[in-house]
Amino acid sequence: MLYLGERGLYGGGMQVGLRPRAKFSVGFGAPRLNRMMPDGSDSSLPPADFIAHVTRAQRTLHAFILSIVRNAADADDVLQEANIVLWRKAAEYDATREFMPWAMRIAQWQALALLKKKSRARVTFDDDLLALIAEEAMAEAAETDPRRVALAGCLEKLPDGQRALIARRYEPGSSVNALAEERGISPKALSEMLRRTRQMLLNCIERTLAQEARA
Amino acid sequence: MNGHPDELERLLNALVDADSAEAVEECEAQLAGILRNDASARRRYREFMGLHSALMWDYVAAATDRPENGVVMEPRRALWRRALSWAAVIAVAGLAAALFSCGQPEIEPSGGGPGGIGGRRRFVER
Repeated sequence: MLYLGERGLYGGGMQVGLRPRAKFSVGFGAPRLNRMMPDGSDSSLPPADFIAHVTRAQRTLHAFILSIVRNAADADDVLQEANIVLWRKAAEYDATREFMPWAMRIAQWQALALLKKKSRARVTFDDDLLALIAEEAMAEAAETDPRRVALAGCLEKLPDGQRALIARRYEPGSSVNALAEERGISPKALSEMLRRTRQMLLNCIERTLAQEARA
Repeated sequence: MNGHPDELERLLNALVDADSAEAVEECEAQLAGILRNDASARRRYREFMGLHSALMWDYVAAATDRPENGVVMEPRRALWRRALSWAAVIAVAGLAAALFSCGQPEIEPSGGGPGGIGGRRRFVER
């Protein structure tokens, strides 16, 4: 059985809710789903540890993709595509090697493919710059989790008003203009409030990491 | 950082809060000029994008612990958005399997899952 929850995919007996009698030959290069073994188990779905790797990598991959495509909606789309490719390539993954660089490389290809499709509109970051950003991000991938942990504490420390502002700004579908109108201030003033709040968070993260390094 | 850090921060914030394609393109053009030759600026850019991504992912964490903020949230919508990435994987696989199967498999969501966070969905074989 597979469980799909907000924290990802949970694997158990790996049968995806399909009747054992059904035999599948999946087209479109999609994941081969169901090669049932005599005991009813499935030999073709990725192993549970691979699924765990992919699930744990989601946030890091999203941040990495966002740094390449610079647009939240595009980053969501690319992450989705990258997950599908990871799934398809599960059998190619060498478990003796680190998962994250492999997954990031696949995410990078997907991100670059999307940018290529949109090339007329997004030519400002050229290929060399994007490669530089990606290579440096891969080299520092291990830093992303400690920063996210630090961010959780920093959000707690924010004054209530700024915390509420951040929460509203990052609510899906939110926009600076809509928020400014809601608060009766100019978009420029609201942007400045957001800039100061993000700066506080970034500074707080740095302080937290520095304190942890000293401890 | 070779240039002005304040200008870099301004551009980063303007990039993610811009309300038009023209404004985004203008920010990106200026940012690209800074980032090409400045490793510390690129590091700052990655850190900023990491923050932006984490807040998009966890925006709900900024409000759920403090209901007195007066912020009306729909919990877990952002998390569900991420979960949808995985849902897409399963959906594509399931759809393809259904389309190409000789038999007629049934995918039937059961009621509640085995517990856990956020109304986990459970698909079971019958």
